[in-house]
Amino acid sequence: MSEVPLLSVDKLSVSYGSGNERVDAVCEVSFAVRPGEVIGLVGESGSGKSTVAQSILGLLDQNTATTSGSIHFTNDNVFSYDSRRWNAVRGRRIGMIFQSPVSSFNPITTIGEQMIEALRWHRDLNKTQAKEATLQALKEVGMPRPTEVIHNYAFELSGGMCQRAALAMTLSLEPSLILADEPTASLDVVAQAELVRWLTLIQKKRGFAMLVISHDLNLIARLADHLLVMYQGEVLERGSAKSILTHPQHTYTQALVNAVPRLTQSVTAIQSHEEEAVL
Amino acid sequence: MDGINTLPMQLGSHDKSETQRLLRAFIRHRMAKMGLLGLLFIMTVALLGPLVLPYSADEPNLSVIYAAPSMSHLAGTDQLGRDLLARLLEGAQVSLSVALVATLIATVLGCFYGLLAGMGPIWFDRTLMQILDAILSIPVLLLVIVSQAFGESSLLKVIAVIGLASWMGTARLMRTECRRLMETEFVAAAIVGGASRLRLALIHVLPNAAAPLLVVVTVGVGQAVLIESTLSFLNLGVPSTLPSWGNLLGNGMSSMLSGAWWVVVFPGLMIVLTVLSINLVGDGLRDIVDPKRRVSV
Repeated sequence: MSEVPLLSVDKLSVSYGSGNERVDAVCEVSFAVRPGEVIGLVGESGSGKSTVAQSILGLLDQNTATTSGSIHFTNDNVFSYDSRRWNAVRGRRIGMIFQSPVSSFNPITTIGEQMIEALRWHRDLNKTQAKEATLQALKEVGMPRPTEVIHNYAFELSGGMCQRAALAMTLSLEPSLILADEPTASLDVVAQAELVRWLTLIQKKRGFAMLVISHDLNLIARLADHLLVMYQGEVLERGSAKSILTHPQHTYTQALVNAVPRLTQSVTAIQSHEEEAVL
Repeated sequence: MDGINTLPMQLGSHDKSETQRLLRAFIRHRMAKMGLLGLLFIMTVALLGPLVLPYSADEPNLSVIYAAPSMSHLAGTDQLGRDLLARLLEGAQVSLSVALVATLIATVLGCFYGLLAGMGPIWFDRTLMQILDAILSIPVLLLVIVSQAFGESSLLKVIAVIGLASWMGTARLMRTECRRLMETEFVAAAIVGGASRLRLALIHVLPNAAAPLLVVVTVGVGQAVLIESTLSFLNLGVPSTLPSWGNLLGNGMSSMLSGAWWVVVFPGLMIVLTVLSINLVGDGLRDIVDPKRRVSV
């Protein structure tokens, strides 16, 4: 594995509000993501996972959030980016998969229009080329009937299909790093398992790096190589996914792991269920 | 291999677009439908009536001064023997176009101000909203009367004054909607997709605020009809040579004393009917647009 990190977060602290109402959301979090590596960020809601993702993409509300520390993406400090630089990096080099696929599409424009727009903006394609690339991207994520789907609105698709469309949109820009913020939160168990399996496949094939944020150990265990366990804004434990799941050191991590008692059984149960469903 | 078939296929289960769904709900909303029919009726009659009527709105006929409503003059005549129905219909054109253009001005202004506040940094937003609060504390009617007291009255001036006096509500709504929409995932996704702030405002925020905006605009037209009538009644509105409803009301006040009730009652009735219809449409739109108040149909 290459030693130069794609993304390195150093002593990142984020707090919201000011004065007496100041709340520390993230405290001195440091980690690195190397090219092609999948890092998982686990923690319960309110542990600051999403804030980390938002800081990486510069999506924090500048009016309320104060940040310190640094985030480097390919050796550039992202805190020094101006809006033009951000527009070149966001989407194109760092992609993002949002929590709820349906609400990550504008409800009044079609899926196709939004994908074509992003492609034209980032990859400098003309309209026909962008449409071609959109269809290609939809086919690649296994979207049924892509030529029809591009004329659909997000609310007309099922959650699973929408997640695929969102994924296709992110992947079509060929980013080298993808942030996935609770990518399975709004999906049912079957669609979740489907997505995880598919994401693992495409990640192996394309070799992009990924930062997966989730409260779901089951999901993380199947996707990530390395894990960071967050609690109240701090990283409590880090290590390879296997070691953390089998030998959690910190009491909190032990509680978290024990909260999913039959981890191995449930994974195999889902897998066999999937296989049945496919057959 | 990737198990496409396991995906729940919901394509086509609700294949109607949002617009179609709203339209359907609107048609099923009884009060809204009544309001819309009333409005359409008034507009049709105002446009087609003058072509059918044998009288012109401005031609005096001294032989039929203060003629009571009859078969030859359905709404009677005024102090110069002019046919009141012809004047009412022409008045409808004047009053409604003043109200529509004024509301258009107010909407454009309000949207612009609201978007500016809603998309800007927080200090800018606060400043703009405080200015808005200050403007809102001035009684609108007083403002309009004072501005009308200076200079010659003209149709354009009335329109501009009404428009400038009624954009504040729209601005407030637009700003709130803007703040709400800026928090949504699809706006975050659009930012990640490289959309500029202008693009965000015009493609992602404004169209998604269209539904509540429509409600405010509809009610605004009714308000504008009322303001126009009030101003014209006070002789501060539309030039008195044009038969707007407010002018007809104002001119007719003295006629009441000679027992010609129709000169006042009919213009008043037109104003009431129009504003009522518009408000019914507005209330219906509100019911349909607001999911919490959505009527089960």
